[in-house]
Order: sequence, then structure tokens, then C-alpha cells
Amino acid sequence: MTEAPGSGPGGEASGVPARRPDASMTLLTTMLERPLDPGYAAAADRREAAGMPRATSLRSLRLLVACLLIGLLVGVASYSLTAGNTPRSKARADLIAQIESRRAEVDALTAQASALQAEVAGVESAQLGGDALATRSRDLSAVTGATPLRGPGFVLTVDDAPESGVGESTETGPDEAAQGRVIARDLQYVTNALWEAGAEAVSINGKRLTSTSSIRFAGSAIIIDRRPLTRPYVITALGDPKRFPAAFADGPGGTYLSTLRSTYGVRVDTEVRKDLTVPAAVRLTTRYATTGDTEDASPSATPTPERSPS
Amino acid sequence: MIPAIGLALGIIIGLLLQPAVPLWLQPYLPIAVIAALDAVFGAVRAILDGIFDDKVFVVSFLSNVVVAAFIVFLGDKLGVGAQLSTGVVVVLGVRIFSNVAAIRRHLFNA
Repeated sequence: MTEAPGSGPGGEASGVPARRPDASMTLLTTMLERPLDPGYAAAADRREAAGMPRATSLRSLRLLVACLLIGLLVGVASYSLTAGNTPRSKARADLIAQIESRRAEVDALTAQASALQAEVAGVESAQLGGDALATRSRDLSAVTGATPLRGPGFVLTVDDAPESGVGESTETGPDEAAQGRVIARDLQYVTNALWEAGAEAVSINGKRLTSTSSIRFAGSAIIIDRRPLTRPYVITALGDPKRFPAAFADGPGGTYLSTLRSTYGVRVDTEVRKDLTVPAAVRLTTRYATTGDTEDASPSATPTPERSPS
Repeated sequence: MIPAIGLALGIIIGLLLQPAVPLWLQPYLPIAVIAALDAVFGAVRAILDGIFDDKVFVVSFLSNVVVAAFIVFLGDKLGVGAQLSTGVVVVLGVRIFSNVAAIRRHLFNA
């Protein structure tokens, strides 16, 4: 970089009559054989010619300043290039913080919705009194998922196979790693089998399933009513303690789960309990389908001429 | 002794102050560090060889850093930034290795 004239590789080779066998690789050989800056040797020769010692003292101000600069460079680089400080990881942390704050918001709103639902239920029962209408309302809200329910049933814990960790999915390929993962279809099938076996209420990870709930896949996450689930998947099902667990185990659901367990290594754990609670559903929007007016229903049959005002 | 103190002091200041490095400067940091290391090991070898010159050291350090950064900058502009960075790292890495080998021969006679 700071070569004195004549001390470079070109100056050295001039005047030597015999060609070196590796002359075509001068770049490599100079790089390998002369790693030290030639400027040092040149400066030493100059100083010797002037009658000074070959090496200068280490006690000089500019040396101190240069060392300070190098240290600063190394320190700053080691600080700003560590994993937690690059812009990418900052953006990632920002996103995670955003997700968490939004999730907290959703949780707060969910809690508010449940409180309001409980209030509505209270007012409703107070208004209706104790007659047949109130009983009917209670039964209906139990079936539709409008009120939390409590009673006997069983807890079904389904989890991914032990070796299908998220971190390994890149090494073993998506297909292979996905073999042991619980997918949305598994949960769909199991919940349908639960209803079939006579479940009165079902919730997955504390989210009540209603007749309008959806279990779907978004990327690699299972979402229920547009809210993502995290493993393990804890399915709580309420039902008649005498018949319901046995009916599920003997039915298609039990067969399906045992196939999952034996073929893919999915972990399944069933526990019958006497006292379980299932929360009320948060989203109970009813969707109506209305028939259009006859005029609107067949707009193309009677085109514009009649309607044109003038 | 004085250079070592300066080096340690610089590292401590850098770690304590944690100055915000502007985004456009960040790609040059690793290359600059390697260039600086090359200058440092060259200087240590020169000290052991008995031909150290502080002016040469300062100039070689500054020009190393500037040229390495310039090569990376040029490579980025030409669309071959990664390859040129690799080239710079290889050249400086080889120099660091052989300088360290020379230092090792001086210190341990092996």
C-alpha cells in the first residue's frame, strides 16, 4: 500500500535474467512471500543511511492516536455487529413488540366482550324471570356457545411429535418435518368426531367452538376464528360422563387419534375429569341470508328501457 | 506498552460510549476491522524484526482501511460487493496469517 519506488515486486524482478518457473503467479507469490508492508524495510534502510537506529521508538503520539483509533474501531464494530444490534434484528424486535402489544389489546377486548356478555346474560335472566322462556333461552345459549359451561368431560391434549421441532424443519426438509406436526385437518376431524360422539361443548386452547367456528391453516399455524393457536392443543370437551368418553374412544375420533399416534408419533393424551369449564364464545355473529326483491333478483331480465326516466 | 494501552483504551471507549453507527457505514465495519488487524499484525512483526516505523504504521493503517472500504464501496456499486469483500478478506487474511506465523517464529522460535 505504501510502497517505496523500486522496492515492489516489479523492481525486484528487473535485472534477473532467469525467468522464475512461477512467474505467471507473481500476484500469489508476492502475497504469500512478502506479507509485511515493504514500507517498513524501506524506511529502516533510509534511517540507517541517515545514521539513525533502524527502528523508531514506540513512545510517539501518533502511534498512540492510531492505536486509540484501531481500538475504537474494534470496540464499535464488536458492539454494533453483535446479534442484538444489527438493523435487521432491531426490525424483528419491533415486529415482535408490535405483535405482543396487539395481542394484549385483543386479550383486553376479549375480556371486555366476555364481561359484557355476562352482563347481557344477567339482564336477560332477570328480565325473563324463572319461566319456560328463561329455561329455553338458557338451553339455547348453552348449545350455541353464548354462555360458559361447566361440567364433566375430558381433556384431550394433542401435540406435535417430539422430533418435529420447528428448528429442524430446515434441515430435514419441510415434508419430512411436517410429518409429525398436528395440522388443521387433524383438529377438524377430532372436533367433528367429538360432536358426533355427543359432546355438548368443545373448546380448543380456551377458545369455544360454535357452529360457525372455523379451523384453518395459515402458513404453518392453525387458526381458529382467525386467532392463531400455539401447541400443545388442549381440547376440552364436555359431555355425559357415562357415555361420551367411551363413545369418542370407540368412534372414528379415537381410531383417528391412535393412527396419528402410531404412524406419525403425534403425542395424544386423554384425561377424564369431573369438573371442567368451557368459556363462552367471543364471536357470536349470526349471518343472515336474505332473498333479494324480485326486481333486484332478476335485473338482467328486464334491462334499462323501462327504467330510463326521460 | 503505550500502543497496547492505547488499543485497550480505544476498545473500552468504544464499548462504553456505544456510538450509533450510521446505516450506510455498517457494511464497511467488518472490512475495516480486518484491515486494521492486518496493519496491527504487520506492525507487531516489524517491531520484532527491529524495523518498526511509526509513520509507516499510521499511514499503512489509514490506507488499509480506506482502500478496503473503497473496494467494498466500488463492489457494491458494481453489483459484485460480496465477491470483492471476499477478495479483500482473503488477501488480508493471508497477510495476517503469514505475519502471525512470523511473529510466532520470533516469539517461540518454532
